[in-house]
Amino acid sequence: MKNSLLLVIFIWLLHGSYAIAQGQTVSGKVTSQDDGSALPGVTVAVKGTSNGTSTDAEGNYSLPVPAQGGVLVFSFIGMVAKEIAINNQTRINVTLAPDAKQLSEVVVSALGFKENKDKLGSTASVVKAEDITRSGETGVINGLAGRASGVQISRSTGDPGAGSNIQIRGQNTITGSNQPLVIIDGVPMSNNTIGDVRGGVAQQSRLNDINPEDVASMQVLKGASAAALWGSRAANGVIVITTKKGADDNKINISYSTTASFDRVNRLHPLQEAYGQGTGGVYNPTSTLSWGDKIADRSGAADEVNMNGARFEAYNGQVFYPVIKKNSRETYVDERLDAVFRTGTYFDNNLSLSGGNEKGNFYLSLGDLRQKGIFAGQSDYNRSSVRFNSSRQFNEIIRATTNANYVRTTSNRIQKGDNASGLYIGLTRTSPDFDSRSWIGNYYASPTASPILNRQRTYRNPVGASANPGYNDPLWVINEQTNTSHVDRFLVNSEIVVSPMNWFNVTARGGIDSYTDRRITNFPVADATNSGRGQFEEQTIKETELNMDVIGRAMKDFGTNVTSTLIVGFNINDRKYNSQGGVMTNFIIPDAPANFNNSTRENNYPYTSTTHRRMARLYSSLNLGFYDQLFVNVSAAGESGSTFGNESKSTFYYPSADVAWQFNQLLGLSNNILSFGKLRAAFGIVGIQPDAYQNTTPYINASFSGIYANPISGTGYGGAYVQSSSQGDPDLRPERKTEWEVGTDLRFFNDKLTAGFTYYQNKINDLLLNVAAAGSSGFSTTYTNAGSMENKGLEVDLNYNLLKRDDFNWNVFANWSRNKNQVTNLAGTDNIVLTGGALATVAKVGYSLSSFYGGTAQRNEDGSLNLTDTGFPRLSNVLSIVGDPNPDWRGGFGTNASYKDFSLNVLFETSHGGDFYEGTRGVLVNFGTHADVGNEVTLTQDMYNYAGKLIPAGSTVRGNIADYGSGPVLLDQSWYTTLGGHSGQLTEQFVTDGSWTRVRELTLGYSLNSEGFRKKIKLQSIDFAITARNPFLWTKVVGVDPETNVSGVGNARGVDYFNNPSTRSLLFSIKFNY
Amino acid sequence: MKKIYKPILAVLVSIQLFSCEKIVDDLNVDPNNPTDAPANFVFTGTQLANVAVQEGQASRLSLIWTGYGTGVFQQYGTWHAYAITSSNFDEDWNNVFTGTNKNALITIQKAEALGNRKMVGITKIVQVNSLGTATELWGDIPYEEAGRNEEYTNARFESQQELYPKLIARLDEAIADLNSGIGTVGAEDIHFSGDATKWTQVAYTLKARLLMDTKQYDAAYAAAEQGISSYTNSLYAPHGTIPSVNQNHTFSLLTDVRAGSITAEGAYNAELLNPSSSIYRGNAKTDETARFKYYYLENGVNAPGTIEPNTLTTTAARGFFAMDADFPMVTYQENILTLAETALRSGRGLELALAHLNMYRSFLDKGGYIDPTYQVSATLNYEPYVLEDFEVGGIENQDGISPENALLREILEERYVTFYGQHLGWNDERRTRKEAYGIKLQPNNGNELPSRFIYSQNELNSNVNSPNPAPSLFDPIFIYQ
Repeated sequence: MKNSLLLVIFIWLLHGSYAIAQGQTVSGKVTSQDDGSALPGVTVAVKGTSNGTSTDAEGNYSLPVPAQGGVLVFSFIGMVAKEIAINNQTRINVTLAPDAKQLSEVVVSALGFKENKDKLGSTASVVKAEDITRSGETGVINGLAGRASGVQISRSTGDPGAGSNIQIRGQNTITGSNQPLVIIDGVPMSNNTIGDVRGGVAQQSRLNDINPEDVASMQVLKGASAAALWGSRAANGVIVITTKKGADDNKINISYSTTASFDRVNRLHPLQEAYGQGTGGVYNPTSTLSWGDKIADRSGAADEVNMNGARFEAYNGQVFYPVIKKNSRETYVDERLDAVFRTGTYFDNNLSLSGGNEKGNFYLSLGDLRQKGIFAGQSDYNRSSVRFNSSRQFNEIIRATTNANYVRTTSNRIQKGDNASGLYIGLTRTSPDFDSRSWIGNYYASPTASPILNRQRTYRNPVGASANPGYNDPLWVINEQTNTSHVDRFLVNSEIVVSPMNWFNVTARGGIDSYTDRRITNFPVADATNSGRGQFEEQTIKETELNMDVIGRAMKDFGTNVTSTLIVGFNINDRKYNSQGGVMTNFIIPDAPANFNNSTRENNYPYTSTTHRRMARLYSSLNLGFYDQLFVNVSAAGESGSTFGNESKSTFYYPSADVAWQFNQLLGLSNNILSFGKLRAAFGIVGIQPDAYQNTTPYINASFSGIYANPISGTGYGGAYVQSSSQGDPDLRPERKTEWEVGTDLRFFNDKLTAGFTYYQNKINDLLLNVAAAGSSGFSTTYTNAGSMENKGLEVDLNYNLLKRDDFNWNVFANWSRNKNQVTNLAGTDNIVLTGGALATVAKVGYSLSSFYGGTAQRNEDGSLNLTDTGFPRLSNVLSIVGDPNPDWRGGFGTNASYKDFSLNVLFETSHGGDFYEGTRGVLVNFGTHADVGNEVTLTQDMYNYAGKLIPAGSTVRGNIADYGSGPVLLDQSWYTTLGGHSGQLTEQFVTDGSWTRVRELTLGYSLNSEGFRKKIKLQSIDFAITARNPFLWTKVVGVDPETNVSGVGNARGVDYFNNPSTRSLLFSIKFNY
Repeated sequence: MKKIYKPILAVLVSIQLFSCEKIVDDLNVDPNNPTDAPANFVFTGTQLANVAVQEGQASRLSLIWTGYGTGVFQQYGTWHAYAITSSNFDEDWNNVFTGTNKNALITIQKAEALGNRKMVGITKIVQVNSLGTATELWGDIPYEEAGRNEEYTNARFESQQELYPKLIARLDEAIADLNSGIGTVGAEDIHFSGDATKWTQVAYTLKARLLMDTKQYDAAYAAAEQGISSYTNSLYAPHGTIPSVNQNHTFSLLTDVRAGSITAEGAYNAELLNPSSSIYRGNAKTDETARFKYYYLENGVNAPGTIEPNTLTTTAARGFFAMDADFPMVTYQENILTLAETALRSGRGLELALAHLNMYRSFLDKGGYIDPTYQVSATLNYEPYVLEDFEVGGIENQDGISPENALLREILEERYVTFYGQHLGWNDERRTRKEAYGIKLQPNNGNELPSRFIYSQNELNSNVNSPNPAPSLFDPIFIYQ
């Protein structure tokens, strides 16, 4: 009875007060502490005897016990065993808590049914709710990172609420989304990240609307067989989220938690401070470059200025005149960074009430997150949510459940990426000797001129003479622009389970997920967008998904050795998307309220777009169990979808099968070493739906632009239409992924060590592609089923309970996975561009998807560089594959330890062998601001520079020395501003090893729950925790977290191009449990 | 067990699958875009695509590769040094083929169905304008099999020997269509509102251009005689002030998308026109100040402090690349200078050639194509030349070459400075590269001048008939060999 104090917490004696102490029978019900659901199969035994039983399907048990009483032991796999003294009770209801030291063995299927993991032939990774909430991430996606093998979560930026790329077992489609289907409480929900592109702002993932505190469990169904019932929406895997329910414990549980987080920027590009603005070693206050004079050589006196011409009066009081002679040695790199970045914060408060009894239960939660980003301006993210989950058992036959969730998300974000209006372009390209902190003010064209108000001052526009600043000043970006999003979302689902017979039930389940997202983007007058004339955009996106399932489930045993479950279901899923909005350019009144009234008629551009997709599926699965050790599951789905081509048949079938064999039972292998052994194999086919309306080639507004010029459009020429250059296909079929996997789950040393191994292979046929067409055909792309791709991979999960003592528990865990993707056929086209630019990411036959494609140096037949006479590389006219951003392998490892009331959790994550494109560095060396080009070298011999000039030995010059194979050459401005920079297109020189290892999470917790404390405060416990999120990062990549990606959540990976930086955080949280 | 389930399942499956298909029927009809459009709208779309072709890389790479400007920054800095890859040409190649050519074929088909020969004729001229520019830049290109992917999945490339006669014949067809007088074209024609006379003249000037390419100077003269007869009949791309809708392409590039990327520091054309330059082409009879200022802004705004292509757009100053400056595509200037050059080259005599040149000079003397703001704010003077000016010791023959060559040199130089910002200037430079007289440029980098555009990466990747190995930037195309 050492643990009696602890155990008392969990015992609630509901019906036993009138029991008498005689030789008697004890009965009761065992439920899960997590969600109050009944636990079937729990072993109930009288301690020290062989007298025992197990609970039935409803969690009930009944056991004769000796008159003298004794102790009942309740044990169940994945749960903390509990011992309860019988005393004089005849009814003992028990709740069992999940065993934090062992992965829960109950998994929820794609249809929302609970299944015993040991009986499954397919693989699912379960991520515990507390791991997600403890991770310090504000959204559920990033909380998954590093916790499951084969699941890759890549955050594109540290912007609050930004989406992340989720990839399960490699990439499964080329031009469509690789994001998994998310099922919450049995119903799909939108996890779209709409409008996330190279420029603009980092868009939010709608998956992050879910309050992590409401999640009871989250699991990733990785294999095709587990997901096959979702047919053409399941190829990217399925994430199943189950939300919390009230416990059947006849009391109100109140829990309040509060978390404060302090976030700092993680990595910054190193910038030089030795040379000033200008070109060719000469200071020039309007140059775009920082290849000017050596700052140390300046006199140090005040700058000589022209006070008889124009001037700029900044609102912070500083006055600027055109510089005639630059004398000041002051530089402002640190000052600029200090002004742009701050310590970001968030405060997350959650209150939940829950409770229930056998008749019903409820869970009510209120969540409120207020985040301020690391940018010292208009960067925030707020999420408020209400969830009410309730369930009612009306009688033996009918049970009804409703889960309702309302979420409001508001945010204001910062322009990022490949974008002249973005933060990082201005921040990093601005010359070191320019002070950004006076970014806004009044411009006077002459000493007697009237002011022009609200002008932007930037390093190329030092007195604000031009309305067009070229690039925005970083402080203008974070202070003057508006990029808001306002989301109102409802997620409601209801379920009725009718169980007319004990072997048969019918589940009718309906769900609706509907949100509107109102986005406003305002670039005021004097912003770089639209050359300083102002641009305003407002867009309202509305998405509604309706889902309905009717599922019949029959269970029947044939003798004692054969069990069976048959499921037959029917599903209708209907999704509508609507986007309406407009763009307005050229404001009439510069500082009028931002709305569509502030421009002339021809500068307003409304737009609208609608899609409506529907699918209907009939599905069935049959589960057979033999001798409680061999389990076979066969299923099939037949599906019709509205987006299939009008010439193709519209019903497609998705079969799957898996088998699990607990071989240790048959072979009598259960011994002290091997406590459990299972072999499993699975096969399944899943798919990807075509996009809507791709069955025809539309006529579209004629809009044409040359490279780097803005387009001309039919709207300005009385209306003009052309046949789209993207060709449709009336024969569209869903893309199909066929996957098989084999694996084993093993447990050793009395379950102390658990291990899982899986090998899988999949082949994706009929890939839906925008096949690049030769322009001469009349089309630049054709959307069609073409080509194939394959993935092969290995996944390993390990957990070892090093110590399991009464007051000291310690386990270590690790997961490891590798996935090898190869594009095997693209129907004759050489490659398909996923993102363009000087460095493209492409699909190309024989290479991994998303391989880098760019310019290389010309090479001789022997592989050496074909150099110029002066020893420099030459650019090849055609592009080649220059790198592969897909890692060779990834892993997560860590430890959970607890001693008395203290706990420690550490999670490492690592990624090895993926390439990374340092686009930002490539541009900054061109601009002369990167630390790499702040060096001075003294030549030991005569050397040529790229311009062909011979620099004599002994010269001390700005630059670096390199040797491309024919002796040392000088890399100076003539090199970096042409072939040696990103725009020189010799992209292979900026591809680097993007491997990294990081500590994702480090948490120290303390729980105050002693009996004395509980009696005094009337609380069950107070839990304290300090978490460091992302505290350590080891990588060869300089200046940026290599997890970043300019394309956001798109299929292109591993490219840095002025992405906003990621963050690391320190969090403090307190949770009160009543 | 199976006895119970199987029949139920079979019935359920058959009923439900049938209803599955009914549930999703008829939802895949695009509510956002039409699947067809009337001829007149596709006609306008075709014209816009051709504008993008003429004002795209054709114009901009000519700027930096023909001494009209200087690429100093980002992509244009690199391209200036001839470091360029095939993917940099995808967009412009597509503008020719998926933009102009395919939609021209669609327009012609739709217009023929309506019996609108006028629209057919104009469309053919627009088509040849794009394809002509394409072959001048890329060399061999697909023609007969282009834009017909239902019949030809890999369009055949045609040699210039094969292609030029076909393009010329296409223009003749167009002229016949226009001469038939059948059909109606109005405001959907963004250039001439359906004026058949102007289009016929454009067709002849284009024909003369193609004949110049193949050095058939006699035929070129004959075609040009029926070519554009006045400045107002010139084919210009109309522009306006609305961003991303109707602004001058190069304006948006120079001021917005790649601001400051192209200057005119050390540009040969700027030196020729700059009255304070040592190689200033002005003389006692010629004052280029107005044209110089119209082309270039000495104290730039996009590349502050340096000379750059003039993008000023104010009531007092509208540069060549002003926001709403119309862009020259096929002009009176070209036609009359073609008459001058071909008169000389076809042996029609110095007097006739000089008469054409003087006619052009008198056009310039009245302001010519120079924006009126600069005719007011700067000086210009183009007095007629006389034969003596080209004789040894004359103002146009200080170095003592033959009068004929001196006149040719002046005509070629006049063509060069006139064709500012157009690929025609680069055409002339390549056409006369091996001749004694013409514009002689120093390479921006290395010791070779570029000779062509390289093929689009997409075309190379996806058309098995595309040239293999792909020619490099320095391999001359057939007509300019």
